[in-house]
Amino acid sequence: MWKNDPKELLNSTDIQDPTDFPPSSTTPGLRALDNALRCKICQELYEAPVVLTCGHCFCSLCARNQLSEKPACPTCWKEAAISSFRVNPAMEEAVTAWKDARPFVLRVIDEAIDLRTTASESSRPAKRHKPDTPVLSNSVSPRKQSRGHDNPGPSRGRDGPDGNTPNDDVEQDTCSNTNNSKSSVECPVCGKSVPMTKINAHLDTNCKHYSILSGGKNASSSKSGQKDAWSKLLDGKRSGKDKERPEAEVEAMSPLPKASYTVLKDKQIRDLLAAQDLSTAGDRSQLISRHERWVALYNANLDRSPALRKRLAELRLEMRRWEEDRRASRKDPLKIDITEYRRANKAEFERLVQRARGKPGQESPRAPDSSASLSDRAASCDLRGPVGASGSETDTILVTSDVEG
Amino acid sequence: MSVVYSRRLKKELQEIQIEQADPTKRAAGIQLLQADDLKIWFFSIEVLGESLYKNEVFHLMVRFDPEYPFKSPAVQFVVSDKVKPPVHPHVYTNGHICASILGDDWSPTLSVMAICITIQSMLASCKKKELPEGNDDYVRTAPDNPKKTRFVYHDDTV
Ligand SMILES: [Zn+2]
Ligand SMILES: [Zn+2]
Ligand SMILES: [Zn+2]
Repeated sequence: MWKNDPKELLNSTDIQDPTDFPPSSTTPGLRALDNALRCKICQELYEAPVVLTCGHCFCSLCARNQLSEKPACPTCWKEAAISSFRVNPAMEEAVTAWKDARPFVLRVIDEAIDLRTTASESSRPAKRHKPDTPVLSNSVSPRKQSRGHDNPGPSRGRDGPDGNTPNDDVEQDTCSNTNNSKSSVECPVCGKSVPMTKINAHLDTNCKHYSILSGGKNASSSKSGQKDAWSKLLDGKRSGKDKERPEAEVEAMSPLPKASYTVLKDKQIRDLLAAQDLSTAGDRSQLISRHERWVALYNANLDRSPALRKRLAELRLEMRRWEEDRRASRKDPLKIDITEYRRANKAEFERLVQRARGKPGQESPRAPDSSASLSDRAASCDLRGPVGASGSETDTILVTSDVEG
Repeated sequence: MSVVYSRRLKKELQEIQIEQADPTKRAAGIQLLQADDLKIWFFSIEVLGESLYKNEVFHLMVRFDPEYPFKSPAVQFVVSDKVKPPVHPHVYTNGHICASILGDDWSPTLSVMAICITIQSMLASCKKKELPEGNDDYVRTAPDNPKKTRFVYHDDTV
Protein backbone atom coordinates (compact mmCIF):
# COMPACT_ATOMS: atom_id res chain seq x y z
CA MET A 1 0.00 0.00 0.00
CA TRP A 2 0.94 3.60 -0.40
CA LYS A 3 3.28 5.17 2.09
CA ASN A 4 3.44 8.88 2.26
CA ASP A 5 7.15 8.98 1.76
CA PRO A 6 8.29 12.28 0.30
CA LYS A 7 11.40 10.80 -1.25
CA GLU A 8 9.33 8.25 -3.07
CA LEU A 9 6.88 10.89 -4.08
CA LEU A 10 9.57 13.21 -5.37
CA ASN A 11 10.85 10.43 -7.56
CA SER A 12 7.49 9.29 -8.78
CA THR A 13 6.68 9.73 -12.41
CA ASP A 14 2.94 9.30 -12.32
CA ILE A 15 2.30 13.01 -12.02
CA GLN A 16 0.10 14.12 -14.88
CA ASP A 17 -0.78 17.64 -15.74
CA PRO A 18 -1.83 19.76 -18.71
CA THR A 19 1.77 20.39 -19.72
CA ASP A 20 1.97 16.77 -20.80
CA PHE A 21 0.46 18.22 -23.97
CA PRO A 22 2.34 20.48 -26.34
CA PRO A 23 1.44 24.19 -26.37
CA SER A 24 -1.59 25.32 -28.33
CA SER A 25 0.58 26.38 -31.25
CA THR A 26 1.32 22.69 -31.85
CA THR A 27 -1.86 20.99 -30.67
CA PRO A 28 -4.62 23.60 -30.36
CA GLY A 29 -6.87 23.23 -27.36
CA LEU A 30 -5.52 20.04 -25.83
CA ARG A 31 -3.66 21.62 -22.96
CA ALA A 32 -6.64 23.83 -22.22
CA LEU A 33 -8.97 20.86 -22.43
CA ASP A 34 -6.92 18.86 -19.97
CA ASN A 35 -6.86 21.86 -17.68
CA ALA A 36 -10.61 22.40 -17.96
CA LEU A 37 -11.29 18.87 -16.77
CA ARG A 38 -9.21 19.35 -13.63
CA CYS A 39 -10.29 20.46 -10.18
CA LYS A 40 -8.65 23.76 -9.25
CA ILE A 41 -8.04 22.52 -5.71
CA CYS A 42 -6.36 19.15 -6.16
CA GLN A 43 -5.31 19.64 -9.83
CA GLU A 44 -6.51 16.13 -10.64
CA LEU A 45 -9.17 15.18 -13.15
CA TYR A 46 -12.50 15.73 -11.40
CA GLU A 47 -13.64 13.03 -8.99
CA ALA A 48 -17.36 13.20 -8.22
CA PRO A 49 -17.64 16.76 -9.54
CA VAL A 50 -20.12 19.10 -7.89
CA VAL A 51 -21.16 22.63 -8.80
CA LEU A 52 -21.50 25.37 -6.19
CA THR A 53 -24.18 28.04 -6.43
CA CYS A 54 -21.68 30.39 -8.09
CA GLY A 55 -21.23 27.84 -10.89
CA HIS A 56 -17.66 26.81 -10.08
CA CYS A 57 -16.98 23.12 -10.11
CA PHE A 58 -14.77 21.02 -7.77
CA CYS A 59 -14.38 17.44 -6.66
CA SER A 60 -17.00 16.79 -4.05
CA LEU A 61 -14.42 15.85 -1.44
CA CYS A 62 -12.20 18.86 -2.23
CA ALA A 63 -15.20 21.18 -1.93
CA ARG A 64 -16.24 19.56 1.34
CA ASN A 65 -12.76 19.94 2.76
CA GLN A 66 -12.68 23.57 1.73
CA LEU A 67 -16.12 24.43 3.07
CA SER A 68 -15.23 23.07 6.46
CA GLU A 69 -12.53 25.76 6.52
CA LYS A 70 -14.62 28.56 5.14
CA PRO A 71 -18.17 28.58 3.69
CA ALA A 72 -17.20 30.20 0.40
CA CYS A 73 -16.12 29.24 -3.09
CA PRO A 74 -12.30 29.20 -3.16
CA THR A 75 -12.30 30.73 -6.64
CA CYS A 76 -14.74 33.63 -6.35
CA TRP A 77 -15.49 33.73 -2.60
CA LYS A 78 -19.23 33.68 -3.15
CA GLU A 79 -21.09 32.02 -0.34
CA ALA A 80 -21.33 28.24 -0.65
CA ALA A 81 -22.76 25.37 1.34
CA ILE A 82 -22.68 21.62 1.09
CA SER A 83 -26.46 21.55 1.19
CA SER A 84 -26.60 23.41 -2.12
CA PHE A 85 -24.12 21.23 -4.03
CA ARG A 86 -25.39 20.10 -7.40
CA VAL A 87 -23.88 16.95 -8.82
CA ASN A 88 -22.41 17.32 -12.29
CA PRO A 89 -22.84 14.06 -14.19
CA ALA A 90 -22.05 15.75 -17.51
CA MET A 91 -18.61 16.73 -16.28
CA GLU A 92 -18.14 13.29 -14.81
CA GLU A 93 -18.94 11.72 -18.15
CA ALA A 94 -16.50 13.98 -19.94
CA VAL A 95 -13.76 13.11 -17.44
CA THR A 96 -14.43 9.40 -17.75
CA ALA A 97 -14.11 9.61 -21.52
CA TRP A 98 -11.00 11.79 -21.28
CA LYS A 99 -9.31 9.32 -18.94
CA ASP A 100 -9.72 6.74 -21.68
CA ALA A 101 -8.68 9.05 -24.46
CA ARG A 102 -5.79 10.82 -22.75
CA PRO A 103 -3.03 8.19 -23.04
CA PHE A 104 -4.11 7.51 -26.57
CA VAL A 105 -4.07 11.15 -27.59
CA LEU A 106 -0.63 11.57 -26.06
CA ARG A 107 0.62 8.61 -28.01
CA VAL A 108 -0.81 9.86 -31.26
CA ILE A 109 0.84 13.22 -30.71
CA ASP A 110 4.17 11.53 -30.04
CA GLU A 111 3.74 9.54 -33.15
CA ALA A 112 2.81 12.48 -35.30
CA ILE A 113 5.81 14.42 -34.06
CA ASP A 114 8.08 11.43 -34.64
CA LEU A 115 6.78 11.10 -38.13
CA ARG A 116 7.11 14.72 -38.92
CA THR A 117 10.75 14.66 -37.91
CA THR A 118 11.59 11.41 -39.70
CA ALA A 119 9.38 11.72 -42.76
CA SER A 120 11.95 13.57 -44.77
CA GLU A 121 14.82 11.12 -44.13
CA SER A 122 13.25 7.76 -44.79
CA SER A 123 10.02 5.90 -44.67
CA ARG A 124 10.84 3.65 -41.75
CA PRO A 125 7.88 2.71 -39.64
CA ALA A 126 7.39 4.57 -36.42
CA LYS A 127 8.83 2.83 -33.41
CA ARG A 128 6.99 1.42 -30.44
CA HIS A 129 3.47 1.71 -31.80
CA LYS A 130 1.11 -0.83 -33.16
CA PRO A 131 0.81 -0.25 -36.90
CA ASP A 132 -2.96 -0.09 -37.00
CA THR A 133 -3.32 2.61 -34.43
CA PRO A 134 -5.22 5.50 -35.93
CA VAL A 135 -3.01 8.47 -36.55
CA LEU A 136 -3.47 11.99 -37.70
CA SER A 137 -4.22 11.28 -41.32
CA ASN A 138 -2.08 13.95 -42.91
CA SER A 139 1.08 12.73 -41.27
CA VAL A 140 0.58 9.03 -41.72
CA SER A 141 1.85 8.33 -45.21
CA PRO A 142 5.36 7.13 -44.37
CA ARG A 143 4.12 4.17 -42.37
CA LYS A 144 1.69 2.68 -44.86
CA GLN A 145 4.23 0.22 -46.06
CA SER A 146 4.73 -1.32 -42.66
CA ARG A 147 1.36 -2.91 -42.93
CA GLY A 148 -0.02 -5.78 -45.02
CA HIS A 149 -2.27 -5.39 -48.02
CA ASP A 150 -5.38 -5.87 -45.99
CA ASN A 151 -4.86 -2.57 -44.31
CA PRO A 152 -7.84 -0.40 -45.08
CA GLY A 153 -5.56 2.59 -44.72
CA PRO A 154 -5.13 5.32 -42.22
CA SER A 155 -8.28 7.19 -43.03
CA ARG A 156 -10.22 4.50 -41.23
CA GLY A 157 -8.88 5.38 -37.87
CA ARG A 158 -10.00 8.90 -37.74
CA ASP A 159 -13.52 8.68 -38.96
CA GLY A 160 -14.24 5.00 -38.71
CA PRO A 161 -16.43 3.43 -36.08
CA ASP A 162 -13.84 1.33 -34.30
CA GLY A 163 -13.01 3.64 -31.46
CA ASN A 164 -12.07 0.64 -29.37
CA THR A 165 -8.84 -0.26 -31.03
CA PRO A 166 -6.66 2.14 -29.09
CA ASN A 167 -8.13 1.03 -25.79
CA ASP A 168 -7.46 -2.60 -26.40
CA ASP A 169 -3.99 -1.61 -27.25
CA VAL A 170 -3.43 0.24 -24.00
CA GLU A 171 -4.85 -2.54 -21.92
CA GLN A 172 -2.54 -5.05 -23.49
CA ASP A 173 0.35 -2.89 -22.50
CA THR A 174 -0.58 -2.43 -18.89
CA CYS A 175 -2.39 -5.58 -17.90
CA SER A 176 -0.23 -8.28 -19.36
CA ASN A 177 1.08 -9.51 -16.04
CA THR A 178 -1.98 -9.46 -13.88
CA ASN A 179 -2.88 -13.07 -14.42
CA ASN A 180 -0.21 -14.68 -12.31
CA SER A 181 -1.79 -13.73 -9.01
CA LYS A 182 -5.27 -15.07 -9.13
CA SER A 183 -6.30 -17.22 -6.26
CA SER A 184 -5.95 -15.07 -3.15
CA VAL A 185 -4.88 -11.71 -1.85
CA GLU A 186 -3.67 -10.50 1.48
CA CYS A 187 -6.35 -8.35 3.08
CA PRO A 188 -4.89 -4.87 3.54
CA VAL A 189 -6.88 -4.41 6.74
CA CYS A 190 -6.40 -7.62 8.73
CA GLY A 191 -3.57 -9.19 6.76
CA LYS A 192 -5.28 -12.53 6.36
CA SER A 193 -5.28 -14.39 3.11
CA VAL A 194 -8.62 -14.14 1.33
CA PRO A 195 -9.82 -15.60 -1.97
CA MET A 196 -9.84 -12.84 -4.51
CA THR A 197 -13.45 -13.47 -5.38
CA LYS A 198 -14.41 -12.99 -1.77
CA ILE A 199 -12.28 -10.04 -0.76
CA ASN A 200 -15.00 -7.45 -1.16
CA ALA A 201 -17.41 -9.52 0.86
CA HIS A 202 -14.65 -10.02 3.41
CA LEU A 203 -14.07 -6.30 3.76
CA ASP A 204 -17.78 -5.61 3.87
CA THR A 205 -18.07 -7.87 6.90
CA ASN A 206 -15.19 -6.02 8.59
CA CYS A 207 -12.86 -8.96 8.15
CA LYS A 208 -15.09 -11.38 9.98
CA HIS A 209 -15.67 -13.86 7.17
CA TYR A 210 -14.12 -15.55 4.18
CA SER A 211 -10.49 -15.58 5.23
CA ILE A 212 -8.46 -18.66 4.33
CA LEU A 213 -6.78 -20.64 7.05
CA SER A 214 -3.93 -21.16 4.69
CA GLY A 215 -1.03 -23.25 5.86
CA GLY A 216 1.72 -20.69 6.00
CA LYS A 217 2.56 -18.08 3.43
CA ASN A 218 0.85 -18.07 0.13
CA ALA A 219 3.50 -18.45 -2.47
CA SER A 220 1.76 -16.27 -4.99
CA SER A 221 1.49 -13.23 -2.74
CA SER A 222 4.46 -11.32 -4.01
CA LYS A 223 4.21 -7.59 -3.48
CA SER A 224 3.70 -6.72 -7.08
CA GLY A 225 1.23 -9.50 -7.56
CA GLN A 226 -0.73 -8.11 -4.65
CA LYS A 227 -0.77 -4.68 -6.10
CA ASP A 228 -1.95 -5.91 -9.45
CA ALA A 229 -4.62 -7.99 -7.85
CA TRP A 230 -5.84 -4.98 -5.94
CA SER A 231 -5.84 -2.62 -8.81
CA LYS A 232 -7.61 -5.19 -10.93
CA LEU A 233 -10.18 -5.63 -8.24
CA LEU A 234 -10.76 -1.95 -7.71
CA ASP A 235 -10.51 -0.83 -11.30
CA GLY A 236 -12.80 -3.53 -12.54
CA LYS A 237 -15.42 -2.39 -10.17
CA ARG A 238 -15.02 1.26 -10.89
CA SER A 239 -15.59 0.82 -14.56
CA GLY A 240 -18.89 -0.79 -13.73
CA LYS A 241 -17.99 -4.24 -15.00
CA ASP A 242 -18.45 -5.94 -11.65
CA LYS A 243 -21.63 -7.90 -11.81
CA GLU A 244 -21.15 -9.20 -8.30
CA ARG A 245 -21.78 -5.86 -6.75
CA PRO A 246 -24.53 -6.37 -4.23
CA GLU A 247 -27.60 -4.38 -5.21
CA ALA A 248 -28.48 -3.96 -1.58
CA GLU A 249 -25.35 -1.96 -0.91
CA VAL A 250 -26.06 0.49 -3.69
CA GLU A 251 -29.61 1.00 -2.61
CA ALA A 252 -28.77 1.30 1.04
CA MET A 253 -26.52 4.27 0.39
CA SER A 254 -28.07 7.56 1.35
CA PRO A 255 -26.18 10.56 2.65
CA LEU A 256 -25.11 10.53 6.27
CA PRO A 257 -26.52 13.43 8.27
CA LYS A 258 -24.13 16.01 9.59
CA ALA A 259 -23.70 15.78 13.34
CA SER A 260 -23.59 18.85 15.55
CA TYR A 261 -20.73 17.75 17.71
CA THR A 262 -20.92 20.65 20.13
CA VAL A 263 -24.10 19.29 21.66
CA LEU A 264 -22.91 15.68 21.69
CA LYS A 265 -21.16 13.96 24.56
CA ASP A 266 -18.05 11.87 23.88
CA LYS A 267 -20.10 8.73 24.40
CA GLN A 268 -22.62 9.80 21.77
CA ILE A 269 -19.88 10.49 19.25
CA ARG A 270 -18.43 7.06 19.95
CA ASP A 271 -21.86 5.60 19.29
CA LEU A 272 -22.02 7.40 15.97
CA LEU A 273 -18.64 5.95 15.03
CA ALA A 274 -19.56 2.48 16.21
CA ALA A 275 -22.72 2.62 14.12
CA GLN A 276 -20.47 3.06 11.10
CA ASP A 277 -18.07 0.32 12.22
CA LEU A 278 -15.33 2.86 12.80
CA SER A 279 -12.76 2.95 15.54
CA THR A 280 -13.83 4.61 18.78
CA ALA A 281 -10.30 5.14 20.05
CA GLY A 282 -8.76 8.50 20.77
CA ASP A 283 -9.70 11.77 22.43
CA ARG A 284 -12.68 13.92 21.64
CA SER A 285 -11.05 15.92 18.85
CA GLN A 286 -9.84 12.73 17.19
CA LEU A 287 -13.30 11.21 17.43
CA ILE A 288 -14.85 14.28 15.86
CA SER A 289 -12.40 14.57 13.02
CA ARG A 290 -12.69 10.85 12.32
CA HIS A 291 -16.46 11.09 12.09
CA GLU A 292 -16.33 14.29 10.00
CA ARG A 293 -13.92 12.65 7.64
CA TRP A 294 -16.06 9.58 7.25
CA VAL A 295 -19.18 11.63 6.57
CA ALA A 296 -17.29 13.64 3.94
CA LEU A 297 -15.85 10.54 2.24
CA TYR A 298 -19.15 8.73 2.34
CA ASN A 299 -21.27 11.58 1.05
CA ALA A 300 -18.75 12.63 -1.57
CA ASN A 301 -18.89 9.10 -2.93
CA LEU A 302 -22.64 9.50 -3.36
CA ASP A 303 -22.00 12.49 -5.60
CA ARG A 304 -20.68 10.09 -8.23
CA SER A 305 -23.10 8.52 -10.61
CA PRO A 306 -24.12 5.09 -9.26
CA ALA A 307 -22.03 3.08 -11.70
CA LEU A 308 -18.86 4.89 -10.63
CA ARG A 309 -19.39 4.74 -6.88
CA LYS A 310 -16.78 3.11 -4.74
CA ARG A 311 -17.70 0.28 -2.46
CA LEU A 312 -17.87 0.66 1.26
CA ALA A 313 -14.77 -1.51 1.48
CA GLU A 314 -12.80 0.96 -0.59
CA LEU A 315 -13.96 3.87 1.49
CA ARG A 316 -12.85 2.03 4.60
CA LEU A 317 -9.44 1.57 3.05
CA GLU A 318 -9.21 5.27 2.30
CA MET A 319 -10.27 6.01 5.83
CA ARG A 320 -7.54 3.77 7.12
CA ARG A 321 -4.93 5.48 4.99
CA TRP A 322 -6.11 8.84 6.22
CA GLU A 323 -5.72 7.72 9.83
CA GLU A 324 -2.21 6.51 9.10
CA ASP A 325 -1.25 9.81 7.50
CA ARG A 326 -2.57 11.68 10.47
CA ARG A 327 -0.74 9.50 12.90
CA ALA A 328 2.46 9.90 10.93
CA SER A 329 2.27 13.68 10.81
CA ARG A 330 1.53 13.87 14.53
CA LYS A 331 4.37 11.61 15.46
CA ASP A 332 6.85 13.26 13.18
CA PRO A 333 6.78 17.00 13.72
CA LEU A 334 9.12 18.78 11.43
CA LYS A 335 12.34 19.97 12.93
CA ILE A 336 14.16 22.45 10.80
CA ASP A 337 17.86 22.37 10.56
CA ILE A 338 18.58 25.91 9.57
CA THR A 339 22.33 25.34 9.79
CA GLU A 340 22.16 22.67 7.17
CA TYR A 341 20.18 24.89 4.87
CA ARG A 342 22.59 27.76 5.38
CA ARG A 343 25.61 25.68 4.57
CA ALA A 344 23.95 24.23 1.52
CA ASN A 345 23.06 27.64 0.24
CA LYS A 346 26.10 29.66 1.10
CA ALA A 347 27.49 29.56 -2.41
CA GLU A 348 24.15 30.16 -4.00
CA PHE A 349 23.49 33.05 -1.70
CA GLU A 350 26.78 34.71 -2.47
CA ARG A 351 26.17 34.27 -6.15
CA LEU A 352 22.81 35.96 -5.83
CA VAL A 353 24.22 38.87 -3.92
CA GLN A 354 26.94 39.17 -6.52
CA ARG A 355 24.43 39.21 -9.29
CA ALA A 356 22.17 41.68 -7.59
CA ARG A 357 25.10 44.05 -7.15
CA GLY A 358 26.54 43.33 -10.56
CA LYS A 359 23.63 44.36 -12.70
CA PRO A 360 21.56 47.05 -11.13
CA GLY A 361 17.97 46.83 -12.25
CA GLN A 362 17.71 46.60 -15.98
CA GLU A 363 14.79 44.26 -15.73
CA SER A 364 11.50 45.51 -14.47
CA PRO A 365 9.84 43.48 -11.77
CA ARG A 366 7.47 40.93 -13.17
CA ALA A 367 3.92 41.98 -12.52
CA PRO A 368 1.44 39.73 -14.25
CA ASP A 369 -2.24 40.57 -13.86
CA SER A 370 -2.82 37.83 -11.38
CA SER A 371 -0.08 38.93 -9.08
CA ALA A 372 -1.10 42.55 -9.29
CA SER A 373 -4.52 41.75 -8.00
CA LEU A 374 -3.02 39.52 -5.36
CA SER A 375 -0.71 42.19 -4.16
CA ASP A 376 -3.65 44.45 -3.56
CA ARG A 377 -4.65 41.98 -0.96
CA ALA A 378 -1.39 42.06 0.90
CA ALA A 379 -2.44 44.56 3.43
CA SER A 380 -1.19 46.48 6.38
CA CYS A 381 -1.96 45.15 9.74
CA ASP A 382 -2.69 45.51 13.37
CA LEU A 383 -1.72 42.89 15.84
CA ARG A 384 -4.06 41.08 18.05
CA GLY A 385 -1.37 39.00 19.64
CA PRO A 386 -0.74 35.32 19.27
CA VAL A 387 -3.67 32.98 18.95
CA GLY A 388 -3.83 30.09 21.35
CA ALA A 389 -0.44 31.00 22.72
CA SER A 390 -1.44 29.62 26.08
CA GLY A 391 0.29 26.33 26.70
CA SER A 392 2.18 26.52 23.46
CA GLU A 393 5.09 24.18 23.79
CA THR A 394 7.83 26.77 23.14
CA ASP A 395 8.34 25.15 19.79
CA THR A 396 11.76 25.79 18.37
CA ILE A 397 10.37 26.00 14.88
CA LEU A 398 8.29 22.92 14.97
CA VAL A 399 5.54 22.22 12.58
CA THR A 400 2.93 19.94 13.95
CA SER A 401 -0.28 18.87 12.39
CA ASP A 402 -2.35 20.90 14.80
CA VAL A 403 -1.46 24.50 14.31
CA GLU A 404 -4.46 25.58 16.32
CA GLY A 405 -3.31 23.44 19.25
CA MET B 1 -1.02 15.25 3.81
CA SER B 2 -3.21 12.87 1.94
CA VAL B 3 -2.01 11.27 -1.26
CA VAL B 4 -3.98 13.55 -3.54
CA TYR B 5 -2.72 16.73 -1.97
CA SER B 6 0.88 15.50 -1.75
CA ARG B 7 0.61 14.95 -5.46
CA ARG B 8 -0.61 18.45 -5.93
CA LEU B 9 2.35 19.86 -4.02
CA LYS B 10 4.71 17.68 -5.96
CA LYS B 11 3.18 19.11 -9.14
CA GLU B 12 3.82 22.61 -7.89
CA LEU B 13 7.42 21.70 -7.23
CA GLN B 14 7.82 20.15 -10.65
CA GLU B 15 6.35 23.21 -12.29
CA ILE B 16 8.67 25.51 -10.37
CA GLN B 17 11.68 23.41 -11.34
CA ILE B 18 10.67 23.45 -14.98
CA GLU B 19 10.12 27.19 -14.93
CA GLN B 20 13.46 27.79 -13.26
CA ALA B 21 15.18 25.94 -16.04
CA ASP B 22 13.55 28.17 -18.64
CA PRO B 23 14.50 31.85 -18.48
CA THR B 24 11.48 32.90 -20.53
CA LYS B 25 9.08 31.47 -17.97
CA ARG B 26 10.94 32.15 -14.77
CA ALA B 27 9.53 34.70 -12.37
CA ALA B 28 12.44 37.10 -12.36
CA GLY B 29 14.01 37.50 -8.95
CA ILE B 30 12.42 34.41 -7.40
CA GLN B 31 14.48 31.29 -7.06
CA LEU B 32 13.95 27.97 -5.38
CA LEU B 33 16.92 27.31 -3.12
CA GLN B 34 15.95 24.09 -1.48
CA ALA B 35 13.07 21.63 -1.49
CA ASP B 36 14.21 18.28 -0.18
CA ASP B 37 10.77 17.15 0.79
CA LEU B 38 7.19 18.28 0.89
CA LYS B 39 7.45 19.90 4.30
CA ILE B 40 9.72 22.86 3.92
CA TRP B 41 11.02 24.86 0.98
CA PHE B 42 13.33 27.86 0.76
CA PHE B 43 13.28 30.57 -1.87
CA SER B 44 15.40 33.60 -2.51
CA ILE B 45 13.57 36.77 -3.39
CA GLU B 46 14.88 39.98 -4.81
CA VAL B 47 13.16 42.92 -6.41
CA LEU B 48 14.59 43.60 -9.83
CA GLY B 49 14.43 47.09 -11.24
CA GLU B 50 14.00 50.29 -9.32
CA SER B 51 12.81 49.82 -5.78
CA LEU B 52 13.77 50.55 -2.21
CA TYR B 53 15.26 47.06 -2.04
CA LYS B 54 17.69 47.33 -4.90
CA ASN B 55 20.61 44.94 -4.48
CA GLU B 56 19.04 43.21 -1.51
CA VAL B 57 18.36 39.47 -1.47
CA PHE B 58 15.98 37.87 1.00
CA HIS B 59 15.26 34.28 1.84
CA LEU B 60 11.76 32.98 2.31
CA MET B 61 10.96 29.87 4.32
CA VAL B 62 7.75 28.05 3.42
CA ARG B 63 6.46 25.31 5.71
CA PHE B 64 3.53 23.13 4.78
CA ASP B 65 0.73 22.11 7.02
CA PRO B 66 -0.47 18.52 6.63
CA GLU B 67 -3.73 20.10 5.61
CA TYR B 68 -2.24 22.03 2.73
CA PRO B 69 -3.76 23.33 0.47
CA PHE B 70 -6.80 23.88 2.67
CA LYS B 71 -4.61 25.54 5.24
CA SER B 72 -2.09 28.09 4.00
CA PRO B 73 1.60 27.33 4.39
CA ALA B 74 3.54 29.14 7.13
CA VAL B 75 5.69 31.68 5.31
CA GLN B 76 8.35 33.92 6.80
CA PHE B 77 11.61 35.59 5.93
CA VAL B 78 14.74 33.84 7.13
CA VAL B 79 16.70 35.69 9.81
CA SER B 80 20.32 34.62 10.14
CA ASP B 81 23.83 36.04 10.12
CA LYS B 82 23.82 36.07 6.37
CA VAL B 83 20.29 37.03 5.45
CA LYS B 84 18.06 39.58 7.08
CA PRO B 85 14.40 40.21 6.51
CA PRO B 86 13.50 43.36 4.55
CA VAL B 87 12.69 46.52 6.44
CA HIS B 88 9.07 46.89 5.46
CA PRO B 89 5.89 48.03 7.24
CA HIS B 90 4.46 44.52 6.97
CA VAL B 91 7.55 42.56 7.92
CA TYR B 92 8.63 42.09 11.52
CA THR B 93 12.26 41.79 12.44
CA ASN B 94 11.74 38.13 13.35
CA GLY B 95 10.81 37.49 9.72
CA HIS B 96 7.06 37.24 10.21
CA ILE B 97 4.98 38.74 7.45
CA CYS B 98 1.60 40.36 7.70
CA ALA B 99 -0.08 39.62 4.37
CA SER B 100 -3.67 38.60 4.00
CA ILE B 101 -2.84 36.01 1.34
CA LEU B 102 -1.11 34.06 4.11
CA GLY B 103 -4.21 34.21 6.27
CA ASP B 104 -7.79 35.17 5.53
CA ASP B 105 -7.32 35.51 1.79
CA TRP B 106 -5.54 32.21 1.28
CA SER B 107 -7.41 29.96 -1.13
CA PRO B 108 -6.59 26.34 -1.98
CA THR B 109 -6.66 27.36 -5.63
CA LEU B 110 -3.56 29.51 -5.06
CA SER B 111 -0.01 28.20 -5.05
CA VAL B 112 3.34 28.69 -3.40
CA MET B 113 4.52 30.65 -6.43
CA ALA B 114 1.52 32.97 -6.10
CA ILE B 115 2.65 33.69 -2.55
CA CYS B 116 6.21 34.41 -3.63
CA ILE B 117 5.06 36.77 -6.37
CA THR B 118 2.69 38.54 -4.00
CA ILE B 119 5.43 39.07 -1.46
CA GLN B 120 7.80 40.24 -4.14
CA SER B 121 5.32 42.83 -5.35
CA MET B 122 4.61 43.84 -1.78
CA LEU B 123 8.28 44.79 -1.59
CA ALA B 124 8.36 46.33 -5.05
CA SER B 125 5.49 48.70 -4.26
CA CYS B 126 6.86 49.83 -0.90
CA LYS B 127 7.16 53.63 -0.59
CA LYS B 128 8.95 53.89 2.68
CA LYS B 129 11.30 51.56 4.50
CA GLU B 130 10.07 51.35 8.04
CA LEU B 131 9.34 48.71 10.61
CA PRO B 132 5.78 47.79 11.47
CA GLU B 133 4.24 49.62 14.35
CA GLY B 134 4.75 47.72 17.56
CA ASN B 135 7.52 45.61 16.12
CA ASP B 136 9.46 45.24 19.35
CA ASP B 137 6.43 44.20 21.38
CA TYR B 138 5.42 41.72 18.77
CA VAL B 139 8.82 40.17 18.35
CA ARG B 140 9.20 39.78 22.11
CA THR B 141 5.99 37.79 22.43
CA ALA B 142 5.53 36.25 19.00
CA PRO B 143 5.09 32.52 18.60
CA ASP B 144 7.68 30.81 16.45
CA ASN B 145 5.09 29.83 13.94
CA PRO B 146 3.60 32.96 12.37
CA LYS B 147 0.40 31.08 11.73
CA LYS B 148 -0.29 31.26 15.44
CA THR B 149 -0.54 35.02 15.16
CA ARG B 150 -3.87 36.50 14.28
CA PHE B 151 -3.09 39.47 12.09
CA VAL B 152 -5.75 42.03 11.31
CA TYR B 153 -5.56 43.38 7.77
CA HIS B 154 -6.52 46.77 6.45
CA ASP B 155 -6.64 47.95 2.90
CA ASP B 156 -3.27 49.11 1.86
CA THR B 157 -3.35 52.88 1.84
CA VAL B 158 0.37 53.46 2.20
ZN1 LIG C 1 -10.31 18.03 -6.47
ZN1 LIG D 1 -17.18 30.39 -7.35
ZN1 LIG E 1 -9.47 -8.30 6.30
